[in-house]
Amino acid sequence: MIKRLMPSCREVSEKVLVGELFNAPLLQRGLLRLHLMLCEHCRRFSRQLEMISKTVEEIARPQLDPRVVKAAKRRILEHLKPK
Amino acid sequence: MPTDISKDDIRALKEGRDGAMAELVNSHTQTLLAVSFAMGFSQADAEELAQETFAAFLSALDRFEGRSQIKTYLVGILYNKAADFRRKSYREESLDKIQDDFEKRFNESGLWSRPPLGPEESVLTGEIKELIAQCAEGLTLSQKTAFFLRESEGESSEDICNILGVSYTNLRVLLYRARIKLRECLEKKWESGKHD
Repeated sequence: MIKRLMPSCREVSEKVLVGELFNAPLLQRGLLRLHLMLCEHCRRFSRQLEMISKTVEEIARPQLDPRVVKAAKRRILEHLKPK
Repeated sequence: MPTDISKDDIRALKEGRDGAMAELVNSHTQTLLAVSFAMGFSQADAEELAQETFAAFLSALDRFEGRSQIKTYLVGILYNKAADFRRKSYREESLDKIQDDFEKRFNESGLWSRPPLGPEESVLTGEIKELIAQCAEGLTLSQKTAFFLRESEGESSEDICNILGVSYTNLRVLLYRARIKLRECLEKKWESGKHD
């Protein structure tokens, strides 16, 4: 019964790709979690996507040095002020 | 969603009051720079884009109807400016090949026939970050923007759709494509690095 209900690897990876892994209805969510516990490949796929999300968050941050932002604000304001 | 800028603020901006403009620039420059950096622009270009965004907003204040948050509205202007900036070199490439490659990873029962390879560390190393940053360069402007706004800024789907001028279905496709491209690219770079 569980085997019949269990989502396939393709279905799990598609849920991961659209970012809807854990928004599914309760039963489906439970089955998705169970699949991830049992399937090493889907777990790796899901972890890699998490890792990618975390990195994207960090891509812009190092460039946002407070001094850079402050200097940019000053130049932008100078430019926008009516001459 | 109600706006976060009052009619008085708008009036002060229209009258060109110094404090009003400074408040606007101080509150939103960091977000505009962050989105521009995530789109892959250099520091100088990011600043120019932010400046043009404020200038465009100020020159058409009457068009801001207050239906969205000012941040969403400004990022929408920025996105259009960035798309103009990139228009010449910008082409939305076909995803058919990537989609096909992904489909081929599964057998008829939907089980992995070519399982995913690549890193699986729970802690990000500098090397992985660098590889992902390189892969992000391969995304289109709309994919990068959608992905950054969702993953980093935590914007709602509704706001991202307004910023990019796309439907909810299109947004799902953009995010799906961004994720699939980044992951496939990461695997390729990781595996080729291992065998060099």
